[in-house]
Amino acid sequence: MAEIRLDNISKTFNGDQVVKNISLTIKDGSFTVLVGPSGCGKSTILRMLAGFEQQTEGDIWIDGKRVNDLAPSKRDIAMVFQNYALYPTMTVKGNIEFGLANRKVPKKERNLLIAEIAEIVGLSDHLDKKPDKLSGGQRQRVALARAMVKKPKVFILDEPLSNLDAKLRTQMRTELIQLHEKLGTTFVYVTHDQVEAMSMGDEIIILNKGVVQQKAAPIDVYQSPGNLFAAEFIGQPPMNVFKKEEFHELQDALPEAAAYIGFRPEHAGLALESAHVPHTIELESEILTLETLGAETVYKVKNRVGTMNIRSFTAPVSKRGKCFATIPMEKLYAFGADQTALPALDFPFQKEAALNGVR
Amino acid sequence: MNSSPIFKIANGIGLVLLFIIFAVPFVWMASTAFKSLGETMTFPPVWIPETLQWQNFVEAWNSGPFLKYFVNSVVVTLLILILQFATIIPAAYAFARYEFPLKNFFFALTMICLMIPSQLIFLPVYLNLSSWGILDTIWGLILPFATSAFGIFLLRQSFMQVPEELLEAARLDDASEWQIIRKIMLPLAKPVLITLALFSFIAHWNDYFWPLVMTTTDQARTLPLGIAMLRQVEGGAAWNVVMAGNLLLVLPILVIFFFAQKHIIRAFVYTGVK
Repeated sequence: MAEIRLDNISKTFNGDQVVKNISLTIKDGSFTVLVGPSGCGKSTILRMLAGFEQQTEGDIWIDGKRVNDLAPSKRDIAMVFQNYALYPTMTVKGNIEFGLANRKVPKKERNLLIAEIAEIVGLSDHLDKKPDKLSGGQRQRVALARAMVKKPKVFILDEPLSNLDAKLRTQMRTELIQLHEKLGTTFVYVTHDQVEAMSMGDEIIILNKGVVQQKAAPIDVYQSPGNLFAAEFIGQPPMNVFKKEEFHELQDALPEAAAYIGFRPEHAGLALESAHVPHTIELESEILTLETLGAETVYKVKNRVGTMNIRSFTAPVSKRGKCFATIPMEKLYAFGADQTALPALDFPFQKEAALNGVR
Repeated sequence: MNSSPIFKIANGIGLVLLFIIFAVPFVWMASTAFKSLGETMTFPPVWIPETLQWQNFVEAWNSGPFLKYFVNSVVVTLLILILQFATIIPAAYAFARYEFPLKNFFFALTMICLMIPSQLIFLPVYLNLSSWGILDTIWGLILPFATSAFGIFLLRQSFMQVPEELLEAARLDDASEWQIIRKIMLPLAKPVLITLALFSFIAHWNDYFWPLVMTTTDQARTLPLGIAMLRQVEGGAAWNVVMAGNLLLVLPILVIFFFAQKHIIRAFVYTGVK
């Protein structure tokens, strides 16, 4: 168990700064997810944490110890790689044992540890097989077992589920969450998949272009995105964002600082007839596409504001054509010209409603 | 590929012709080795001798200090193999996995070595070995081949195909560089190592030119020289005895090739992790 602290970490590759002056603390025992589009610097941060890359500037602390100059093996971390990186010429047992043997753990103790770990990850029957005889999920488990057997202070997982099929991915996601609960060790997990980030992390750190965009619990990131990037990155489909000028009916009500207005696709509604609901923006629209996903339907509609996604669980419209999109004003988000989030919007009708005790 | 019947037939005929071109001299050698001296000179030539003349082999073996030649050949070939692996493996690993100053220059230098025929450099090497005083010893046959540019090149290619994550995983597992080479790189490069060993063994077991230049007495002569000398015995060449000697010479190679042909084919097919 260990707290991880990054102090003003920067990394430059050939004059290109890929990680820009990042400072953050990863809490002891947390499941922290680094998420962002490819090239955002998340893997570089992970590799610096593991000691495979040396940071250009700054300090890394693990469990109160400055590890800048420590070799990867001395940092008391274990890593699960995206392609698992199992030793192909060794058996499952050999793979799990390799690190222990190198640390001169006595044979007897090694066998006990391997048996125990194999039981936990369900590999007891496969110990003598080579990795190429295993399924994707089993290989994943070998990689986990190899990491776990060393009882590290920190687990680093680099997109460990991206090579699995959708069904197995969901299953392994649950297993990883349970594993984290069982071990209580600090997990640092890198992914570009926002679903993994939202569902697994206690805390997510959204990165873009080498800069932390937001660091918060998943639900906070969703409900109060720190900036435009976080708003558009988390959520499926992402938040609809438009320039303030597009909503001329709101101009007087919006704060001076607002430059962008956004709303989540699931907060907007769709109807065949105009209803003139108060405190709602109603836009005459045309449906471009509709994706029926079973429980929900995602519409892409076009109107005078632009093209927007609307997500509905009731499927009010079943075919393409004309309709009305409705956006409740209290669900709007405002962002400044520098793309940072502004405080929640405060419309006069909300104050009145609060005074009247109704909403 | 064209799969019309005519193409298939033409392809088949071509393959058979190629096979004949390569196989006939070999079969002729084997057949002659069992003939009597008279049978080697009849026309039209006989392919299958009337009685198998096993004494040809005895005669070949006894016509010189063949045991000495044989021991020399074995010692020279094995020591070359051992020295080559001792130098090739670290060099290939360094070229494949490390960054160091002038790396490209040194690799280019290695590649140039690959392109220069030994006939071009034997004179300076000869003078060099002469100044060391090791002419006409087995060391004169071994040291010039203590490393192999081809081996470094081939093994480097093989090492470069090992994913970087494997090495990183091993480093996290507390493995030293030497353990990484021994436990991860070499097992993965096994087909290439076997191929290199075979190529090197065949080349040096059969080598005629270098021992011819470097040796003057039976002290350091190897089998190919001994076989060549069979031709000069008693003026005219007893071809049946010469061929028996040749057959003895290639026998170890045939045996090894027979057992390892699978590996040679595999050496050129990458079998990595998915």
